[in-house]
Amino acid sequence: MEESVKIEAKDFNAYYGKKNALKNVNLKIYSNKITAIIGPSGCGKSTFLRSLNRMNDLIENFSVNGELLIDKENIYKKDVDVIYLRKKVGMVFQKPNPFPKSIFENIAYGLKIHKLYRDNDELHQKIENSLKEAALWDEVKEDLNKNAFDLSGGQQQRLCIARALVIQPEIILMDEPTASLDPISTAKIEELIRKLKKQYTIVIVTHNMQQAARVSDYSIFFMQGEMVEYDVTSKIFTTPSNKITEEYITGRFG
Amino acid sequence: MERKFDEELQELKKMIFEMLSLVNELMENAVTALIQKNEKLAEEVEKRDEEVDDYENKIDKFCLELLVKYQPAAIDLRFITSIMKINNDVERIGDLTTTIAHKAGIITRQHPAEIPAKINEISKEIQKMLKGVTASLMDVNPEKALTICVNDRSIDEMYVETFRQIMAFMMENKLNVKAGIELILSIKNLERIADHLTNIAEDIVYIAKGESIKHKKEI
Amino acid sequence: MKEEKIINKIRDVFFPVAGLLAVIISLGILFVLIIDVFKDGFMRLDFQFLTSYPSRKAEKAGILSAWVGTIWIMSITAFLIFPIGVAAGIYLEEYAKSGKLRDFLEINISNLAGVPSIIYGLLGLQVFVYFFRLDRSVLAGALTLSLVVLPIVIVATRESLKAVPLSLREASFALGATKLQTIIFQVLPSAFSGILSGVILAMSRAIGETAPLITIGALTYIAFLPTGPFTTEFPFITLQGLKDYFTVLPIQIFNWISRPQKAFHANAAAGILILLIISLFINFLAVYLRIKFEKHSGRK
Repeated sequence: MEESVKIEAKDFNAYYGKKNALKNVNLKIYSNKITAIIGPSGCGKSTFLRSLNRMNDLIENFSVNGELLIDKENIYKKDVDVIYLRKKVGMVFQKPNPFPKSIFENIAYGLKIHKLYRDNDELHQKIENSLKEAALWDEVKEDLNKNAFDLSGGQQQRLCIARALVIQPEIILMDEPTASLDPISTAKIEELIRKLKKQYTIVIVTHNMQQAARVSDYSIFFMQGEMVEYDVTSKIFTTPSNKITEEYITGRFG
Repeated sequence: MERKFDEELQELKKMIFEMLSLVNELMENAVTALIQKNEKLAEEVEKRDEEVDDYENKIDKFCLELLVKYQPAAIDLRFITSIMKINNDVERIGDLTTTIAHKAGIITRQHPAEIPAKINEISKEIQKMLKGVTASLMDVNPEKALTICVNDRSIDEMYVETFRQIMAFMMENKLNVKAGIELILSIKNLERIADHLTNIAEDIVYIAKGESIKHKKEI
Repeated sequence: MKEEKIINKIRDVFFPVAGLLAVIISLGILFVLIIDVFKDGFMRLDFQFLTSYPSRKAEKAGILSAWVGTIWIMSITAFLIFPIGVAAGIYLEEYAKSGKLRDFLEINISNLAGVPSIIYGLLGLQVFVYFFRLDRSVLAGALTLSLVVLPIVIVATRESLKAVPLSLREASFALGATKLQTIIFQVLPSAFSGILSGVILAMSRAIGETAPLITIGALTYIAFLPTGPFTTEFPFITLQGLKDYFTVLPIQIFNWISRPQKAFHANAAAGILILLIISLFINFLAVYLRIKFEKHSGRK
């Protein structure tokens, strides 16, 4: 089966000041697949993830060269609308970060700033749909006005996923989405991620190797800013072809 | 960095080596009992099969423990899962050895005129294989393991030759038939031991390279 | 070993006791002061005191013009410092690029916070009273007081904005919100209780200020009230009151205290009580609003 390329990096470099955080990265990420990025802390995996929705723009002294294409468009080209890019490329963070507002308001925010609804009915409908998509609806439908902070950690993270989904992105970036959750919440989110694959292209950064092995179709191993190995996940975790990858995933590092 | 996990992997390796050397000893004794018509030695081999079974259980349990404790990946995962398979093969070799010892008892009581000298040759060849397997598992050396797979073919040839000799022996005299059948079964068992050793060698290649060479006709 | 144990034990006991003692001493002094003022002034606290203008006769004198003046000045000051201080804080924290301009502004603001208030009085006299010809009006007074307390509001605003977790901003940006949307809809509401505390803190500082107001020439003897903001004629609101002369409580108190007669000292004590009550009220308001907004914003 020919897979369609959603994201492509061509000789992509990223710098924090003078520090070269990503070195000549060349890779392709495919539509409707879950791609995991693994590697030791500081290997550039988060930098790469945050380059995909230009979240790194918020950091002073951050610069890039080379190309980073989404749907064949270089997202670092001068005339790119970052707002539109971020609408298309949603993100879920390491720690659940709902707004200190009601569940309803949390999800409505994205719809409001992008003016994605015509009337109140549509607003409610879209919020309900996204909560259902994020497998949270049944737990919160009774009280959408409850403060998001009163939810459990796992529920908060699913709320954040619902918040990202409601504006209908095409790509979802996940930065260690279960790092602060217990195993049961983690399992729920992993199940959700697998389900979301049908409609979205998912890129997930994780420190949890078993998680990468469980949820992803492809795995990318980064090390010191370079892409060391990229392969089908089952191959990476049973028979990696690179010695460094092997050392990393078997925990024999350094 | 010395890790607990590495220590335990070494321990696992040590256990499988002990099991291999035990099986090696039993096999040698079983064949000796057959050739020398030594009923006592044969009985002893039969009794010691339990030790092999104990090793099998111990190694199986330990492998499961390692899997659940460390959730290994890549080479560690291949090593442990392959050891589980190798464990199974070694245990089968133990069973086959016991059967040979049992047959040695029967054949001794049948008083056949002579035992074909080729049996001893096959036995020596198999012991060489077993040593080779042990050595290649020691440092997970796929090249060494591959030569063992080639070796298996010469044993197959020796088996066919010995089979003919025994057939001739049985045709000489009707009274030889019963002992002859037992002898054929014994060498068949030896031949199957060689097959199991080949399996083990293939597993060693898998541990090292991550690719299965089973079911590939040409190596 | 054993000695060390004993020494540690002594330390463990000594520091809490020393701390408690410090608390008792400072509270004790305050308490004695309040009792003293209360004893002197309580007799004079009555309706007549609140509704009379100052007079040469101590028993007839009241603080009507002073407390009305204080409330006038405070309202206008609040009205001025809130938008200016918050806007300046937002600019410095969210928009100003780190560089020479921001450094320059930052140094100046922290310096301004340390300038003695009488200097502001001189500045107010020069700029507002003479240059802008505002005379010794309520407006000139409020503008001068605003200058005194603006740095407090700016600093408090910046601190509150800084305290808003990065994750909240990221959440908003990641959804494709603009910077302005992020600030207005997420950052400000989250920082609001802190900003509010800063404003009220500034107000309670301003309410006690005497020196700058005396410097710009606030009168000590005023027998009329500034024109009220509401009228019976269209448009029912007038800013006439901004141009009127005024006095405030601390000035009135200062004036009475400096008189030789004992009876006026009683008046001063009563005035202090009123000032304390207003000041306490503002502080309670601050606490109340903070709790209310924190509940609202969900931060615990």
